[in-house]
Amino acid sequence: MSFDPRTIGKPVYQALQELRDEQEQNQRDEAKRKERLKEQKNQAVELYTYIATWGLLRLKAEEKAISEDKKGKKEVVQEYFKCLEILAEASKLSGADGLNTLVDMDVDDYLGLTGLGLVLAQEFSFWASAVYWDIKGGD
Amino acid sequence: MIGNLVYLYLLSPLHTGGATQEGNLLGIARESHTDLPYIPSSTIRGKLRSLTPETERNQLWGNTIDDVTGSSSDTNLTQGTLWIGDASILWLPVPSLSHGVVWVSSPMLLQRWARLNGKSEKAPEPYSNNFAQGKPVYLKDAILKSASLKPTSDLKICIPQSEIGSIDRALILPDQHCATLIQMSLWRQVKVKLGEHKTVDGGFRYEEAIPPDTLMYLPWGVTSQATKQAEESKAKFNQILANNAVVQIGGQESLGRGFVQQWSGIKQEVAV
Repeated sequence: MSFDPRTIGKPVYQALQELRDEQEQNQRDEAKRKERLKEQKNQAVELYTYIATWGLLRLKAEEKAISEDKKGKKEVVQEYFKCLEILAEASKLSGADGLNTLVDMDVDDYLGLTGLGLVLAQEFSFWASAVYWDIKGGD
Repeated sequence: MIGNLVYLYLLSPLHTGGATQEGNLLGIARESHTDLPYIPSSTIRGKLRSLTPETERNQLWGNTIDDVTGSSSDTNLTQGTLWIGDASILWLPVPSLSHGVVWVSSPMLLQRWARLNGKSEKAPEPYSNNFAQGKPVYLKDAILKSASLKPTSDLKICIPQSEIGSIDRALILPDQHCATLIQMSLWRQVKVKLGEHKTVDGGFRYEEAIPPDTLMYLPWGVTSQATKQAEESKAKFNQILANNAVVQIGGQESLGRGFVQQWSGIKQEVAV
């Protein structure tokens, strides 16, 4: 059956859960681990209002601009564009070429992608509360 | 079901609480089938009831739970003689670098309005507009090139006029893009909680609202209860509207939210 109500939720849940697992397993420094998880959660929650206010193009640019010491934030934005790429069946959205892809896009395509991007961002916001249920503060 | 229409021109942001709060966002009520913001009829009906003289309230709007459980002789809840529909968006302002503000609508929104307004004309095509004159239009972070825009002079019939309504730059977008633009043009306020030393306690949260200068409308009519009182009830309702040109709807009245200029569409139908 082609109708699957999990189409948008599934990749988002998997992406956030993998990000969290990676920190839990590989980050030995507890303070740093907590900080990263908090960054991940806050960024996932913030995506919707960021895109609704500033648009996809700026979020993509933000992905580059986030400094390495805010790695949790950066990872969530990267995962967001990976999910968008899969759902929109678009090519070269994630990764370094993404900004050019968005710049070169036809206005119809860009607005359409923004619509999907907003729904996807709401999904990130929902799953942030579920995946990072125990991370408090700053949300 | 063709009712009379009441138009609402928002003078300030209007917030009617949504069913859920996701993440850090306090959302607003949305239509289930379009996801577009709307004002639930119950919100408006409650407001109008409170503006109705006490002696007419139960006739127009029915009695209340208090009437049934209190010392009144009523034993059942009764229906009033008027019904009120949900308020839908007709034109919504979008910031534009090239034109200041551009009001957008879509064929779906215009056709819905025409249906309730008893009109049968087809909605103008997407990208019809009454202002671009061969120049591109900047909308948020999108640019609509002049070649894709369709200048038209007869958009006026799609814009209900009043002394307050100043919608002079109107653009019709395809349904799907209009929904996205509306989503991106909602009024959002960032809020922080300050601690006792005026330092930020916790993170941001956001509240959504329908922006000022949005034009909305709602249908109304008489219920099957009305029978002999139909004309009388209509007259009373029109009097309530005439007496209350500005009403406050939704939450946060103390912050100046939800003030709306309203007018009856009956005169408008004659004018168009």
